Amino acid sequence: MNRDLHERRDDEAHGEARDALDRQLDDRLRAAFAPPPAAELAARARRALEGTGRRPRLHLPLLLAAAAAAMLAVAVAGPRLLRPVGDGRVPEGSVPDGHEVGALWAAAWQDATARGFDPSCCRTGVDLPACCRAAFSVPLALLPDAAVKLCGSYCGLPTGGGLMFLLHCERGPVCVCVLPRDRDPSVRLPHGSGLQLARREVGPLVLYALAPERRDELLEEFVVPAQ
Amino acid sequence: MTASGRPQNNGCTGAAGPPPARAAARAAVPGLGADELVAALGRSGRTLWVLAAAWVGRSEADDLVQETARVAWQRRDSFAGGTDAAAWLSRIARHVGANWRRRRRPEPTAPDDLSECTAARIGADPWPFDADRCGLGDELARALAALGEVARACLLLHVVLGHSFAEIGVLLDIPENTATSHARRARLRLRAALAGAPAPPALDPR
Repeated sequence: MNRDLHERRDDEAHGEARDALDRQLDDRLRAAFAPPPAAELAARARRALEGTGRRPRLHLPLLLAAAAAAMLAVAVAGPRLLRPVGDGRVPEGSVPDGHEVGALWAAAWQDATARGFDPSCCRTGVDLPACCRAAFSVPLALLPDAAVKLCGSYCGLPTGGGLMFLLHCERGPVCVCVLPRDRDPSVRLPHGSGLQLARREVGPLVLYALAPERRDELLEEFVVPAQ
Repeated sequence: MTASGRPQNNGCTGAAGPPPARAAARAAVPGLGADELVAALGRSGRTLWVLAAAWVGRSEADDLVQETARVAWQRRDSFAGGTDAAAWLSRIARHVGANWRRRRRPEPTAPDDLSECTAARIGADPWPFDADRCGLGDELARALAALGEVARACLLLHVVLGHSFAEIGVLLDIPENTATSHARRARLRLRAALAGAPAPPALDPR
Protein backbone atom coordinates (compact mmCIF):
# COMPACT_ATOMS: atom_id res chain seq x y z
CA MET A 1 0.00 0.00 0.00
CA ASN A 2 2.74 2.40 1.04
CA ARG A 3 4.84 1.35 -1.92
CA ASP A 4 1.94 2.12 -4.30
CA LEU A 5 1.58 5.55 -2.76
CA HIS A 6 5.30 6.25 -3.13
CA GLU A 7 5.28 5.08 -6.75
CA ARG A 8 2.28 7.27 -7.55
CA ARG A 9 3.99 10.27 -5.97
CA ASP A 10 7.15 9.54 -7.96
CA ASP A 11 5.12 9.34 -11.17
CA GLU A 12 3.39 12.63 -10.42
CA ALA A 13 6.67 14.36 -9.61
CA HIS A 14 8.20 12.97 -12.76
CA GLY A 15 5.24 14.15 -14.83
CA GLU A 16 5.42 17.65 -13.38
CA ALA A 17 9.14 17.87 -14.08
CA ARG A 18 8.57 16.69 -17.64
CA ASP A 19 5.80 19.25 -18.19
CA ALA A 20 8.01 22.01 -16.83
CA LEU A 21 10.77 20.94 -19.19
CA ASP A 22 8.34 20.90 -22.11
CA ARG A 23 7.11 24.39 -21.26
CA GLN A 24 10.67 25.62 -21.14
CA LEU A 25 11.42 23.93 -24.44
CA ASP A 26 8.31 25.40 -26.12
CA ASP A 27 9.13 28.89 -24.87
CA ARG A 28 12.66 28.70 -26.22
CA LEU A 29 11.56 27.39 -29.59
CA ARG A 30 8.87 30.08 -29.91
CA ALA A 31 11.38 32.79 -29.05
CA ALA A 32 14.04 31.44 -31.40
CA PHE A 33 11.77 30.78 -34.38
CA ALA A 34 9.26 33.62 -34.16
CA PRO A 35 8.56 34.50 -37.80
CA PRO A 36 8.42 38.10 -39.03
CA PRO A 37 5.01 39.81 -39.25
CA ALA A 38 2.79 38.54 -42.05
CA ALA A 39 2.61 41.98 -43.66
CA GLU A 40 6.38 42.16 -43.90
CA LEU A 41 6.54 38.75 -45.55
CA ALA A 42 3.78 39.75 -47.98
CA ALA A 43 5.68 42.92 -48.90
CA ARG A 44 8.81 40.89 -49.59
CA ALA A 45 6.81 38.42 -51.63
CA ARG A 46 5.40 41.23 -53.74
CA ARG A 47 8.88 42.60 -54.33
CA ALA A 48 10.05 39.13 -55.37
CA LEU A 49 7.15 38.84 -57.79
CA GLU A 50 7.81 42.23 -59.31
CA GLY A 51 11.45 41.32 -59.77
CA THR A 52 10.39 38.19 -61.59
CA GLY A 53 7.91 39.85 -63.91
CA ARG A 54 10.02 42.77 -64.96
CA ARG A 55 13.53 41.42 -64.99
CA PRO A 56 15.05 42.54 -68.31
CA ARG A 57 17.25 40.18 -70.29
CA LEU A 58 19.88 42.56 -71.58
CA HIS A 59 22.49 41.51 -74.09
CA LEU A 60 25.96 43.00 -73.81
CA PRO A 61 25.57 45.45 -76.75
CA LEU A 62 22.30 46.71 -75.26
CA LEU A 63 23.96 47.01 -71.86
CA LEU A 64 26.81 49.06 -73.35
CA ALA A 65 24.34 51.26 -75.21
CA ALA A 66 22.38 51.84 -72.00
CA ALA A 67 25.57 52.70 -70.12
CA ALA A 68 26.57 55.16 -72.83
CA ALA A 69 23.13 56.79 -72.74
CA ALA A 70 23.33 57.09 -68.95
CA MET A 71 26.76 58.74 -69.15
CA LEU A 72 25.47 61.15 -71.75
CA ALA A 73 22.48 62.03 -69.59
CA VAL A 74 24.73 62.69 -66.59
CA ALA A 75 27.03 64.82 -68.67
CA VAL A 76 24.12 66.90 -70.00
CA ALA A 77 22.00 67.18 -66.87
CA GLY A 78 24.90 67.42 -64.45
CA PRO A 79 24.94 66.51 -60.77
CA ARG A 80 21.21 67.21 -60.43
CA LEU A 81 20.57 63.62 -61.52
CA LEU A 82 22.90 62.22 -58.88
CA ARG A 83 21.26 64.00 -55.95
CA PRO A 84 21.32 61.80 -52.85
CA VAL A 85 18.00 60.70 -51.41
CA GLY A 86 19.06 60.17 -47.80
CA ASP A 87 18.50 63.78 -46.78
CA GLY A 88 14.75 63.53 -46.42
CA ARG A 89 14.01 64.23 -50.07
CA VAL A 90 11.49 62.02 -51.74
CA PRO A 91 12.99 60.01 -54.59
CA GLU A 92 11.72 61.05 -57.97
CA GLY A 93 10.38 58.65 -60.55
CA SER A 94 7.22 56.78 -61.36
CA VAL A 95 4.38 56.55 -58.85
CA PRO A 96 4.74 53.31 -56.88
CA ASP A 97 2.02 50.70 -56.64
CA GLY A 98 -0.59 51.41 -53.94
CA HIS A 99 -0.75 47.81 -52.76
CA GLU A 100 3.00 47.60 -52.41
CA VAL A 101 3.23 50.85 -50.48
CA GLY A 102 0.37 49.67 -48.24
CA ALA A 103 2.20 46.45 -47.47
CA LEU A 104 5.38 48.38 -46.68
CA TRP A 105 3.48 50.73 -44.38
CA ALA A 106 1.82 47.84 -42.59
CA ALA A 107 5.23 46.22 -42.08
CA ALA A 108 6.66 49.54 -40.88
CA TRP A 109 3.77 49.90 -38.43
CA GLN A 110 4.42 46.42 -37.03
CA ASP A 111 8.09 47.23 -36.73
CA ALA A 112 7.56 50.63 -35.08
CA THR A 113 4.98 49.40 -32.58
CA ALA A 114 7.04 46.31 -31.78
CA ARG A 115 9.92 48.61 -30.87
CA GLY A 116 7.64 50.97 -28.95
CA PHE A 117 8.52 53.94 -31.19
CA ASP A 118 11.97 53.91 -29.62
CA PRO A 119 15.04 55.67 -31.09
CA SER A 120 16.13 52.53 -32.95
CA CYS A 121 13.34 53.19 -35.46
CA CYS A 122 12.32 56.76 -34.72
CA ARG A 123 14.47 59.82 -35.28
CA THR A 124 13.49 62.18 -32.49
CA GLY A 125 13.79 65.95 -32.33
CA VAL A 126 12.43 66.34 -35.84
CA ASP A 127 11.35 69.81 -36.97
CA LEU A 128 8.21 68.88 -38.92
CA PRO A 129 7.90 72.02 -41.07
CA ALA A 130 11.60 72.05 -41.91
CA CYS A 131 11.59 68.34 -42.68
CA CYS A 132 8.60 68.66 -45.03
CA ARG A 133 10.00 71.78 -46.64
CA ALA A 134 13.21 69.89 -47.41
CA ALA A 135 11.31 66.93 -48.84
CA PHE A 136 8.40 68.61 -50.63
CA SER A 137 9.13 72.34 -50.53
CA VAL A 138 6.01 72.64 -48.37
CA PRO A 139 6.27 73.43 -44.62
CA LEU A 140 3.61 71.11 -43.23
CA ALA A 141 2.95 71.89 -39.55
CA LEU A 142 0.78 70.87 -36.62
CA LEU A 143 -1.75 73.33 -35.23
CA PRO A 144 -0.39 75.14 -32.16
CA ASP A 145 -3.00 73.56 -29.90
CA ALA A 146 -2.87 70.12 -31.46
CA ALA A 147 -3.52 67.37 -28.93
CA VAL A 148 -0.82 65.11 -30.33
CA LYS A 149 2.82 64.55 -29.57
CA LEU A 150 5.22 64.13 -32.47
CA CYS A 151 7.65 61.38 -31.47
CA GLY A 152 9.78 61.69 -34.60
CA SER A 153 10.24 60.39 -38.11
CA TYR A 154 10.29 56.65 -38.80
CA CYS A 155 13.68 55.38 -39.95
CA GLY A 156 13.35 51.59 -39.89
CA LEU A 157 12.04 49.54 -42.82
CA PRO A 158 11.47 50.97 -46.32
CA THR A 159 8.25 52.96 -46.67
CA GLY A 160 8.05 53.28 -50.45
CA GLY A 161 8.94 56.99 -50.61
CA GLY A 162 7.39 59.88 -48.75
CA LEU A 163 7.87 60.57 -45.09
CA MET A 164 6.44 58.68 -42.14
CA PHE A 165 6.00 60.35 -38.77
CA LEU A 166 5.23 58.62 -35.50
CA LEU A 167 2.81 60.36 -33.18
CA HIS A 168 1.19 59.70 -29.84
CA CYS A 169 -2.22 61.02 -28.94
CA GLU A 170 -4.91 60.23 -26.43
CA ARG A 171 -6.25 57.28 -28.40
CA GLY A 172 -2.85 55.70 -28.90
CA PRO A 173 0.01 55.66 -31.41
CA VAL A 174 -0.48 56.72 -35.02
CA CYS A 175 1.75 56.80 -38.08
CA VAL A 176 1.20 59.73 -40.42
CA CYS A 177 2.57 59.29 -43.92
CA VAL A 178 3.09 62.31 -46.13
CA LEU A 179 3.36 62.27 -49.91
CA PRO A 180 3.11 64.87 -52.67
CA ARG A 181 -0.42 64.77 -54.04
CA ASP A 182 0.75 64.15 -57.59
CA ARG A 183 2.64 61.05 -56.45
CA ASP A 184 -0.13 59.56 -54.36
CA PRO A 185 -0.48 55.90 -55.36
CA SER A 186 -3.90 55.53 -53.65
CA VAL A 187 -2.47 53.40 -50.91
CA ARG A 188 -4.36 50.24 -50.00
CA LEU A 189 -3.45 48.11 -47.01
CA PRO A 190 -3.07 44.34 -47.36
CA HIS A 191 -6.00 42.20 -46.28
CA GLY A 192 -5.78 41.11 -42.68
CA SER A 193 -3.33 43.81 -41.63
CA GLY A 194 -5.68 44.89 -38.84
CA LEU A 195 -5.00 48.52 -39.69
CA GLN A 196 -7.08 51.37 -41.07
CA LEU A 197 -6.09 54.27 -43.27
CA ALA A 198 -7.51 57.78 -43.17
CA ARG A 199 -6.62 60.18 -45.98
CA ARG A 200 -6.66 63.94 -46.29
CA GLU A 201 -5.30 66.35 -48.85
CA VAL A 202 -3.55 69.38 -47.40
CA GLY A 203 -2.40 71.82 -50.06
CA PRO A 204 -0.10 70.03 -52.47
CA LEU A 205 0.39 67.17 -50.01
CA VAL A 206 -1.62 64.13 -49.13
CA LEU A 207 -1.60 62.74 -45.61
CA TYR A 208 -2.46 59.23 -44.50
CA ALA A 209 -3.06 58.28 -40.88
CA LEU A 210 -2.23 54.64 -40.18
CA ALA A 211 -3.57 53.04 -37.00
CA PRO A 212 -5.74 50.15 -35.85
CA GLU A 213 -8.75 52.52 -36.07
CA ARG A 214 -9.58 55.21 -38.61
CA ARG A 215 -8.12 58.47 -37.36
CA ASP A 216 -9.57 61.10 -39.71
CA GLU A 217 -9.79 63.65 -36.92
CA LEU A 218 -6.06 63.51 -36.29
CA LEU A 219 -5.31 64.64 -39.84
CA GLU A 220 -7.32 67.81 -39.17
CA GLU A 221 -4.49 68.85 -36.85
CA PHE A 222 -2.13 69.40 -39.80
CA VAL A 223 -1.93 72.60 -41.80
CA VAL A 224 0.20 74.21 -44.46
CA PRO A 225 0.86 77.74 -43.19
CA ALA A 226 0.52 80.57 -45.68
CA GLN A 227 4.00 81.44 -46.93
CA MET B 1 2.80 16.55 -25.44
CA THR B 2 2.60 19.78 -23.57
CA ALA B 3 0.75 22.46 -25.39
CA SER B 4 0.53 25.10 -22.71
CA GLY B 5 -0.03 28.56 -24.09
CA ARG B 6 0.09 27.25 -27.62
CA PRO B 7 -0.48 30.09 -30.12
CA GLN B 8 -3.42 30.15 -32.44
CA ASN B 9 -3.21 28.54 -35.81
CA ASN B 10 -1.92 30.88 -38.45
CA GLY B 11 -2.19 30.74 -42.18
CA CYS B 12 -2.68 27.12 -43.00
CA THR B 13 -5.56 24.88 -43.86
CA GLY B 14 -5.32 21.23 -43.00
CA ALA B 15 -7.14 18.07 -43.95
CA ALA B 16 -8.95 17.90 -40.64
CA GLY B 17 -9.12 21.63 -40.03
CA PRO B 18 -12.44 23.36 -39.44
CA PRO B 19 -14.47 23.20 -42.66
CA PRO B 20 -15.33 26.93 -42.81
CA ALA B 21 -11.64 27.88 -42.65
CA ARG B 22 -10.77 25.44 -45.40
CA ALA B 23 -13.63 26.63 -47.56
CA ALA B 24 -12.66 30.27 -47.04
CA ALA B 25 -9.05 29.62 -47.93
CA ARG B 26 -10.02 27.78 -51.08
CA ALA B 27 -12.58 30.32 -52.12
CA ALA B 28 -10.04 33.09 -51.67
CA VAL B 29 -7.69 31.65 -54.27
CA PRO B 30 -9.77 30.91 -57.35
CA GLY B 31 -6.81 31.43 -59.68
CA LEU B 32 -3.39 32.86 -59.10
CA GLY B 33 -2.88 36.37 -60.36
CA ALA B 34 -0.19 38.47 -58.69
CA ASP B 35 -2.59 39.87 -56.08
CA GLU B 36 -4.02 36.44 -55.26
CA LEU B 37 -0.56 34.98 -54.92
CA VAL B 38 0.60 37.81 -52.66
CA ALA B 39 -2.56 37.37 -50.59
CA ALA B 40 -1.92 33.62 -50.35
CA LEU B 41 1.68 34.32 -49.38
CA GLY B 42 0.45 36.82 -46.81
CA ARG B 43 -1.82 34.20 -45.24
CA SER B 44 0.78 31.44 -45.35
CA GLY B 45 3.92 33.55 -45.03
CA ARG B 46 4.57 32.80 -41.38
CA THR B 47 3.98 29.11 -41.92
CA LEU B 48 6.36 29.13 -44.87
CA TRP B 49 8.94 31.01 -42.86
CA VAL B 50 8.92 28.44 -40.04
CA LEU B 51 9.01 25.64 -42.59
CA ALA B 52 11.94 27.35 -44.30
CA ALA B 53 13.73 27.75 -40.98
CA ALA B 54 13.30 24.03 -40.38
CA TRP B 55 14.72 23.25 -43.81
CA VAL B 56 17.64 25.63 -44.25
CA GLY B 57 18.08 27.37 -40.90
CA ARG B 58 16.74 30.54 -39.41
CA SER B 59 19.24 32.86 -41.04
CA GLU B 60 18.22 31.82 -44.56
CA ALA B 61 14.49 31.49 -43.98
CA ASP B 62 13.73 34.99 -45.31
CA ASP B 63 15.56 34.27 -48.53
CA LEU B 64 13.87 30.91 -48.96
CA VAL B 65 10.41 32.45 -48.53
CA GLN B 66 11.27 35.10 -51.10
CA GLU B 67 12.59 32.48 -53.50
CA THR B 68 9.45 30.45 -52.93
CA ALA B 69 7.37 33.46 -53.96
CA ARG B 70 9.43 33.86 -57.11
CA VAL B 71 9.21 30.20 -58.07
CA ALA B 72 5.50 30.09 -57.24
CA TRP B 73 4.91 32.99 -59.61
CA GLN B 74 6.85 31.26 -62.37
CA ARG B 75 4.88 28.06 -61.82
CA ARG B 76 1.53 29.68 -61.14
CA ASP B 77 -0.03 27.65 -63.97
CA SER B 78 0.63 24.46 -62.00
CA PHE B 79 -1.65 25.59 -59.19
CA ALA B 80 -4.97 23.80 -59.40
CA GLY B 81 -7.75 26.24 -58.53
CA GLY B 82 -9.82 25.15 -55.55
CA THR B 83 -6.95 23.30 -53.92
CA ASP B 84 -5.04 24.33 -50.83
CA ALA B 85 -2.68 27.21 -51.68
CA ALA B 86 -0.75 26.77 -48.42
CA ALA B 87 0.03 23.14 -49.29
CA TRP B 88 1.07 24.11 -52.83
CA LEU B 89 3.37 26.87 -51.55
CA SER B 90 4.75 24.55 -48.90
CA ARG B 91 5.62 21.96 -51.55
CA ILE B 92 7.49 24.60 -53.54
CA ALA B 93 9.32 25.82 -50.43
CA ARG B 94 10.40 22.27 -49.60
CA HIS B 95 11.68 21.65 -53.11
CA VAL B 96 13.54 24.94 -53.24
CA GLY B 97 14.95 24.29 -49.75
CA ALA B 98 16.06 20.79 -50.73
CA ASN B 99 17.88 22.20 -53.75
CA TRP B 100 19.68 24.70 -51.55
CA ARG B 101 20.74 21.95 -49.20
CA ARG B 102 21.99 19.79 -52.05
CA ARG B 103 24.03 22.66 -53.47
CA ARG B 104 25.83 23.33 -50.21
CA ARG B 105 26.17 19.73 -49.02
CA PRO B 106 29.88 19.24 -49.82
CA GLU B 107 30.91 22.47 -48.14
CA PRO B 108 30.30 22.09 -44.39
CA THR B 109 32.76 20.34 -42.15
CA ALA B 110 31.63 19.02 -38.83
CA PRO B 111 32.89 20.75 -35.68
CA ASP B 112 35.43 18.76 -33.69
CA ASP B 113 33.43 18.59 -30.49
CA LEU B 114 30.40 16.83 -31.92
CA SER B 115 29.92 13.13 -31.52
CA GLU B 116 30.88 11.06 -34.55
CA CYS B 117 27.30 10.12 -35.28
CA THR B 118 25.98 13.68 -35.07
CA ALA B 119 28.92 15.04 -37.02
CA ALA B 120 28.36 12.54 -39.79
CA ARG B 121 24.71 13.48 -40.02
CA ILE B 122 25.34 17.20 -40.01
CA GLY B 123 28.02 16.75 -42.63
CA ALA B 124 25.63 14.78 -44.80
CA ASP B 125 22.55 16.85 -44.17
CA PRO B 126 23.57 20.31 -42.98
CA TRP B 127 21.32 22.63 -41.03
CA PRO B 128 23.04 25.68 -39.61
CA PHE B 129 22.42 26.25 -35.94
CA ASP B 130 23.11 29.80 -34.90
CA ALA B 131 22.77 29.07 -31.22
CA ASP B 132 24.02 32.44 -30.06
CA ARG B 133 21.52 34.40 -32.15
CA CYS B 134 18.65 32.09 -31.36
CA GLY B 135 19.30 31.96 -27.66
CA LEU B 136 18.72 28.23 -27.68
CA GLY B 137 21.90 27.12 -26.02
CA ASP B 138 24.44 24.79 -27.60
CA GLU B 139 22.92 21.49 -26.49
CA LEU B 140 19.44 22.32 -27.69
CA ALA B 141 20.69 23.75 -30.96
CA ARG B 142 22.78 20.67 -31.63
CA ALA B 143 19.87 18.42 -30.89
CA LEU B 144 17.73 20.43 -33.31
CA ALA B 145 20.43 20.26 -35.95
CA ALA B 146 20.66 16.51 -35.54
CA LEU B 147 16.98 16.06 -36.37
CA GLY B 148 15.78 15.46 -39.89
CA GLU B 149 14.14 18.45 -41.53
CA VAL B 150 10.70 16.82 -41.54
CA ALA B 151 10.85 16.11 -37.82
CA ARG B 152 12.13 19.62 -37.16
CA ALA B 153 9.32 21.10 -39.25
CA CYS B 154 6.67 18.98 -37.50
CA LEU B 155 7.81 20.15 -34.09
CA LEU B 156 8.33 23.81 -34.98
CA LEU B 157 5.06 24.21 -36.89
CA HIS B 158 3.21 22.67 -33.97
CA VAL B 159 4.97 24.55 -31.18
CA VAL B 160 5.64 27.94 -32.78
CA LEU B 161 2.49 28.44 -34.84
CA GLY B 162 0.11 26.01 -33.19
CA HIS B 163 -0.69 24.02 -36.32
CA SER B 164 -2.53 20.78 -35.76
CA PHE B 165 -0.84 17.58 -36.92
CA ALA B 166 -3.53 17.18 -39.56
CA GLU B 167 -2.54 20.57 -40.98
CA ILE B 168 1.13 19.72 -40.74
CA GLY B 169 0.46 16.48 -42.57
CA VAL B 170 -1.10 18.44 -45.45
CA LEU B 171 1.77 20.91 -45.52
CA LEU B 172 4.44 18.21 -45.58
CA ASP B 173 2.60 15.61 -47.66
CA ILE B 174 2.75 13.03 -44.89
CA PRO B 175 0.02 11.23 -42.92
CA GLU B 176 -1.19 12.90 -39.75
CA ASN B 177 0.06 10.03 -37.60
CA THR B 178 3.52 10.33 -39.10
CA ALA B 179 3.58 14.04 -38.31
CA THR B 180 2.54 13.26 -34.74
CA SER B 181 5.27 10.63 -34.36
CA HIS B 182 7.95 12.90 -35.81
CA ALA B 183 7.04 15.69 -33.41
CA ARG B 184 6.84 13.37 -30.42
CA ARG B 185 10.24 11.79 -31.06
CA ALA B 186 11.78 15.16 -31.83
CA ARG B 187 10.46 16.45 -28.54
CA LEU B 188 11.94 13.49 -26.67
CA ARG B 189 15.36 14.25 -28.10
CA LEU B 190 15.15 17.96 -27.40
CA ARG B 191 13.84 17.33 -23.91
CA ALA B 192 16.78 15.04 -23.24
CA ALA B 193 19.17 17.67 -24.57
CA LEU B 194 17.58 20.32 -22.40
CA ALA B 195 17.79 18.14 -19.32
CA GLY B 196 21.36 17.15 -20.10
CA ALA B 197 20.37 13.49 -20.21
CA PRO B 198 21.61 10.99 -22.80
CA ALA B 199 19.57 11.39 -25.99
CA PRO B 200 17.28 8.61 -27.21
CA PRO B 201 18.49 6.56 -30.17
CA ALA B 202 19.04 8.46 -33.42
CA LEU B 203 16.05 9.16 -35.61
CA ASP B 204 15.55 8.43 -39.22
CA PRO B 205 16.27 11.84 -40.75
CA ARG B 206 13.20 11.63 -43.01
